Amino acid sequence: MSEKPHYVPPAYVPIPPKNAEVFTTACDYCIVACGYKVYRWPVGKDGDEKGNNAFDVTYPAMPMTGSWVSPNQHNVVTHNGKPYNVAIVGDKDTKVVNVGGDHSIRGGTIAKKCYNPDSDTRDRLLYPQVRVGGKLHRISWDDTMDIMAEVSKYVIEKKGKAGWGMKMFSYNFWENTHALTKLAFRGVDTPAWAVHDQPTGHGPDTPGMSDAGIDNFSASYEDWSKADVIMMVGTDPFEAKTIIFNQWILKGIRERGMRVISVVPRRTQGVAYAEQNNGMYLEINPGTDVLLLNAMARIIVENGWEDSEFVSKWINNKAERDKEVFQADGFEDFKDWILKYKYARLDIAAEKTGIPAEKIREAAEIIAKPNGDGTRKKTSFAIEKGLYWSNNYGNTAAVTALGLICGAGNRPGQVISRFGGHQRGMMPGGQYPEHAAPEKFPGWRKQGLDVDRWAEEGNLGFVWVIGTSWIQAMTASRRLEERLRRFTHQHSVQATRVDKQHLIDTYKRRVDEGGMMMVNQDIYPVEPINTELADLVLPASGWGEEDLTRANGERRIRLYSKFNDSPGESLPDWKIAAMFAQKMGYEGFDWKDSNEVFEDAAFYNKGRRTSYVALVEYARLHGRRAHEVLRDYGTTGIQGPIRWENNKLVGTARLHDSTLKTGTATGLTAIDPRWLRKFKTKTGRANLLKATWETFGDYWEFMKPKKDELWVTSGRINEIWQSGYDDQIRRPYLRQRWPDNWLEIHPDDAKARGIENGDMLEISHDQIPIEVGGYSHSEADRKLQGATPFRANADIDTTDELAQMVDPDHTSSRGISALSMDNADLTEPDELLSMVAPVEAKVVDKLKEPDTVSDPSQDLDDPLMNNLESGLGLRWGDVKPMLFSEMMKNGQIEMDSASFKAVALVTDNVKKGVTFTYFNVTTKGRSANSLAGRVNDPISQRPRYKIARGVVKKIGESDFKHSAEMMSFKSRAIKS
Amino acid sequence: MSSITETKTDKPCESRRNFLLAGATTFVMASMPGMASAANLLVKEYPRHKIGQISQLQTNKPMDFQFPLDNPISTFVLVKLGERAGAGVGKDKDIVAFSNLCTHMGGPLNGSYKSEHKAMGPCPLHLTTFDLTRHGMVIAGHATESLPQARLEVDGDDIYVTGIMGLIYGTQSNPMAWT
Repeated sequence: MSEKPHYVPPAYVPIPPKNAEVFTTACDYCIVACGYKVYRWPVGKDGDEKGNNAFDVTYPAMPMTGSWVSPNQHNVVTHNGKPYNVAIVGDKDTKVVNVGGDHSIRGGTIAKKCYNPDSDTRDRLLYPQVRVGGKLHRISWDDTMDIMAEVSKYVIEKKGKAGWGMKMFSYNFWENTHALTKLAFRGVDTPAWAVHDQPTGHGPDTPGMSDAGIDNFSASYEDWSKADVIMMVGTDPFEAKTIIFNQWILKGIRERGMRVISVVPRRTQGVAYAEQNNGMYLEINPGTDVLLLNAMARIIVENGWEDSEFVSKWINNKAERDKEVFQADGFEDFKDWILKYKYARLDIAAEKTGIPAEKIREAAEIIAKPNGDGTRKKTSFAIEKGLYWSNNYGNTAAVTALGLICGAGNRPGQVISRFGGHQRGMMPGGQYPEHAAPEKFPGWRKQGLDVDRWAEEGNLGFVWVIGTSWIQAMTASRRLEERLRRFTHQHSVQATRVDKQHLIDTYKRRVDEGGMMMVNQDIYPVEPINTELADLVLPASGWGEEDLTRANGERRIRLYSKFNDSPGESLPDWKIAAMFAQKMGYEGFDWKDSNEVFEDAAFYNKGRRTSYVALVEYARLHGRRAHEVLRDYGTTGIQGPIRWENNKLVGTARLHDSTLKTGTATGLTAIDPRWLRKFKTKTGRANLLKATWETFGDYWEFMKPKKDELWVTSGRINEIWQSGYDDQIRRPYLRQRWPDNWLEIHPDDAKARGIENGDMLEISHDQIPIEVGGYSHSEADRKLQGATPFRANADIDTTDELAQMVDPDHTSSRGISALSMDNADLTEPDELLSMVAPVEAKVVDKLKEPDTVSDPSQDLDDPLMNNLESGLGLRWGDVKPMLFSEMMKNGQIEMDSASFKAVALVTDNVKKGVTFTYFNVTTKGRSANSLAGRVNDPISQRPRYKIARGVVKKIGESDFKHSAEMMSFKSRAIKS
Repeated sequence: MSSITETKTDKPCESRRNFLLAGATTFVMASMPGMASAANLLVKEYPRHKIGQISQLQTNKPMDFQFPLDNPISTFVLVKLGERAGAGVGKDKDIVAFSNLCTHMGGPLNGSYKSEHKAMGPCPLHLTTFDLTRHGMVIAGHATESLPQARLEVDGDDIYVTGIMGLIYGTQSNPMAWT
């Protein structure tokens, strides 16, 4: 056993002096975005422990005062070229989100994120580089932009706009995502665009919820403490949504006896605590949620436990379109259906989910059975990727229907919402040009372009990869990786010297010979995308290095202050996009700073849930910059949509809030869409959807473990953020905890395989289904590839009135007309109309299709319905060819093989037959995503990352098995 | 849960005074690059501090002790785990001592030892747990530092603390740093 751990803390941490400068920001990691204060002071001018410090505290600081600076909360940064100390701590004064300065282990150590060449951040990308002879060489920004522009123009000319691709983060800051999407959509106008976790660039993440009329980020964090019962499906807020659990769910449990039902295959510290406090743990087999949820809904209607008052007032009593698969013709139709539907039977649910029937019945009773006096419990529903990255449409439809019949969705403490993953960073700068996407759909539908398959077929001549590992972040298929390598660094045409014209000529020649030029933009070396593949590697700046904005999972908008220099020649992404756009001759990219981007973007965003156009108008009226007005709101920020009422800016706590009271609108743009108080449908009432198993069951049966295979599902843990790019790899304290990927395995499964804690495992499979083709001109490819609801991407915020991504009211002079948000009458001539026109024409065609519209009185000009991304209106004839089994028959599926390595954690916290691993650690070998099939949901084209199985084999012992230096094998669900 | 009082021979009061003094003077310097070695010097200067006897310890029966000062944050737990541990002492290398204050928000971990897991916690505030076999590493939760571990030394039957690894919650300096 070791005498020292890997990470040995220092003996002293500097304390900020009284005159330290203070900046407000929010954490850069999970959706919750806790408020932080950054104290900055020159090195050598520390405060002291006797009270001469920024906290006015005589040390030691007492517990719960938030005045302690731990060693991992300190760093030395560069500001104006000089060394400064920073202490970055949860804001002890905040009354929202992380009340009192609470924090996660991620945000709590965020000071170590700052660039400091004396730390493991020393490998930040500092200069633009070009790959010549297999190595990266420094090059000037100006040359990179010339090269990129020349090659881009060539590619667009030779291959068309769709030959120019962009694969980008949607988690980053608004200024950056706005500039990049503006470039892709309004500059290049390419459909070959997708965000980091999606193959296709559009459609809602939770389509069953959107089709029901519910915005998937409608809740406010306080709702999670105001319910009597919370049912959480496919999500565990203790892990990586930490403060939702710490500050809101714990509060509900402790202060009002709130009961928490967790539907996950894995028990964590949070699940165990809830279970101990009158909650339930429903240990579900991966992918079977719809069966559980339907069975619960059936039990509820069988017993008449539905909230009939709510149902009669808030549920649509007829389908908006005839003859379709999913939408019920009101509650009675839903009831008839679910009482008869085979896949709502309790016995089937119990068998497939692995949850005993009695527990399912008990859970149904807890969430819905009225109290003895006839009053109802307030029940809320939370979901996340465990639910929707599997049977995407079915599961999201089922949980929403269950929630609605329990009376949830539009009141405090009675909500249906995502908890969220990363922060809400997408700020669209244009409209996805789906008219240019080459795949077609049944009827009027068009499929968004699947950038992975598109690239694999050699259709890209140029691709710009921004802030994502691309390969591992998607399903990590070997096919994608092999093809991307073949078209880039393994292509026969390679540069031989760092010379601008030579490089331009080389990349053009490579394009002519079937290859492509790849540009990567990131903050660190990322294997293999920029260490091996990319021709140009551009250094971006990051959190704390620019004033930037973003919203969290309750739509709370904050300014993330700049407090240190961006290293080397790194630049903010918005600036890089603007430099390139100007080289390309595109207009509208002449921003001087990030505030100008922010103000500009407001007018594109004014119909969305994060609308802040009122803030910009308010700032302008007062002669101020919008960033500065937002800075005044500090860590509190303000919840979108931001309204300007009674001469004050007002935040919106929750959406669809039937209790909302608004004041008199001030300002030019009234922010008062109907969905602030009602559901987001034509009628303002919610749709009940019939969630089907048939659209997923064939895939589930195929993927179900056979013989000695185990489920290999994946998710997050608190200590690692995403790929671990700046914490697991670069923070000794966190690397010590998780030096490698890990696999939780049940003791019985471990014993059968001779596996002990700390053994190194290989997890593999050789029948991983991968959807292929679609973009060649083969006969098979001319067949249907799947149906994608159109326009927008999930991160462009689901069904959010997508036409307003390119707001018809927006004008280049950055002023706006006084049209209300809900009014899309295109009454004023506008420069954007010419671009929007073809799309609008298509929408009208769709709506004229007589047999799909049941109610001729519907307002066909309603922008909401025109732009609804939807499974509504689909008929079985449309759906059937898109099923996995049909695609198999049609030769659209190939089998891939993959494996990854992980250290064994033997624990009964995972259910027998199920293993659980981190989804995207890529430090050694492949990520767990590689075992997931690449077969998207037939309705929504969403990936099914959580559905994988594998053969688990011990290949030896890890370095950690007999050492106390790193990694712990203890239970992560210890009861109190 | 019993508590161990210091033995008279170690003059704890005097030791504490030294500790405070050192904390106020020397350690401002330690933040400067290259000055961290100052901390090590003090480990030698600080007398070892008797906290208990092996013969008093029973496996999985933790004992709290007040250390290193007379203030609310100076609470440690001494425990014989019955399982070999990082920096464990005694014949079986299983005797360890840790701060009783959660390094997340300072929650009291007194009495939270879980013998089945050789762990402290879950913290009553936000449920963080710590692995006592692995230098107080966070098992699950939110703390930004491991649980400070006392360096132990055995002399005959006596157990002494000779250093502390990590800052006790609430403190900015550690005059008896074990680095």
